[in-house]
Amino acid sequence: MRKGTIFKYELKRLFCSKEYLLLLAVNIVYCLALLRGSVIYGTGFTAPFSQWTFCSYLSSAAVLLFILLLALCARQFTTSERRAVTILETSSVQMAVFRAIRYAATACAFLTAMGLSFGICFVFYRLVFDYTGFGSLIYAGLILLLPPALFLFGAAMLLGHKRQALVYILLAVVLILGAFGISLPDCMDLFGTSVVRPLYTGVQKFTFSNEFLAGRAAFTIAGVALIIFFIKRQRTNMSPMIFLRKS
Amino acid sequence: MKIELKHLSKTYPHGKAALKNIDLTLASPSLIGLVGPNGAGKSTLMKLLTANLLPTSGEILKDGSPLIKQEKELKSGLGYLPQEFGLFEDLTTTQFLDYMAAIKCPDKKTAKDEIDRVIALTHLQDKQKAKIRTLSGGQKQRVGIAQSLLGDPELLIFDEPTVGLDPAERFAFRNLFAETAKNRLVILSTHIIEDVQPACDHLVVLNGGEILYTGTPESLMAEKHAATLENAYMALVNGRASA
Repeated sequence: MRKGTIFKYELKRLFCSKEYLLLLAVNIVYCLALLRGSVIYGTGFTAPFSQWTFCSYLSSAAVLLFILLLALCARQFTTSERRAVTILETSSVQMAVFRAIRYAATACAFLTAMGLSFGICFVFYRLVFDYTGFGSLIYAGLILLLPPALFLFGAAMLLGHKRQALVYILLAVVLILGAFGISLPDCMDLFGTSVVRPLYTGVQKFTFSNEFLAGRAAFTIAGVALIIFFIKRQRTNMSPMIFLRKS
Repeated sequence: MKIELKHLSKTYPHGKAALKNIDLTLASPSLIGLVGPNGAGKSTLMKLLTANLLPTSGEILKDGSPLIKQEKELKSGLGYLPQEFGLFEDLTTTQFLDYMAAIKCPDKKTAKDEIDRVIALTHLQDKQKAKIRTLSGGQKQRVGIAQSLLGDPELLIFDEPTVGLDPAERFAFRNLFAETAKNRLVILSTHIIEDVQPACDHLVVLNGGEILYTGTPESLMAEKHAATLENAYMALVNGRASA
């Protein structure tokens, strides 16, 4: 099995897909609008390049990023894709390796979109404010976005294996939560909108609350567990052949 | 290669007995036509042969050893075209075959040679660079057949391979299957009886999960005093002594 070739094709299929390009374009336009419309003024009288403002920017961009991630996940569960995988299941390919390659390609596509959101903001900071201290911003951004992304990825795999429509329902839930700004407890805060809340209660030094960090840890553990489960799962139809051999 | 089915039965969890006590030996080189009405158990038998299902009772032996112990070996030498298959429609024909060759062929050079070979065999030269989504149903069927031929497998299993092909294409593929079966085992599941007579040297008729007939198409016609295989088949399925 030539893993590199399969990974190359999986990347090509994602990066050249209409839904990816469209959502990426929308995300870029939205990020630019956020930078010019709110980031430039700073959040809660802090600098535009403060961690508070950057996290506020990312929590707004997160909605579209997560929708893009779920749309990429949903692609894996179309009838055509499922039937193509049926052919692969009768070949000598190790399905766990194949799935890991597919998941890695999806992760690359999402990380590219996330990196663009970061990059656009950093270019903006550099050009407008000549600010280049991006280290602490990257750290805060990764804590804000990666754990819920892992969780949503795992949840999409769980739901998609049942029915593709369930992934779209999850996508709709994410859209509704984001569009209507529905407030969730810190530990369940998907988009990280609660991060800037302490700023308005007089806290000046940027920190993540313990409840928020615990939530991020739970998202990471649940997401990674689900992803590993679905990578190791024997087959889409769960053939008992290998299962019996193991037992 | 020799595949033996011994007292093979398959009952699905909801209680439907798809196969009942099947005894059958399939040996290469041979082109075996597996025919039967809808619900006869053909697809279940295909899934058992491709190790996608486990039998409820009985066993399948490949060259004398249980299939369950050599699933990987079986699959490394298996070319399979399911009845309902999907293709990565956003890739071109060559890209899709390259994707599949990445699984079946160890290196790029072998893969390229194999892709060229199966493209020529399936007459897809003029569609090499076309996106699969732009191909007609018959052309997609040809891509499906092409992927199953990659890696020169010793066992080929085709489930309704000629569906969607025009008469000329069906004729060409019948010849291809016959040619391919000269040095390997090819199992052709079909409900198109005309595909069986000119191509297959052995016929297995399934009905209600049981084998009704196994032998050559000619001997079935002789047995049923029929002028055509279709008449002989109909007499067999309907339980008549002669056509």
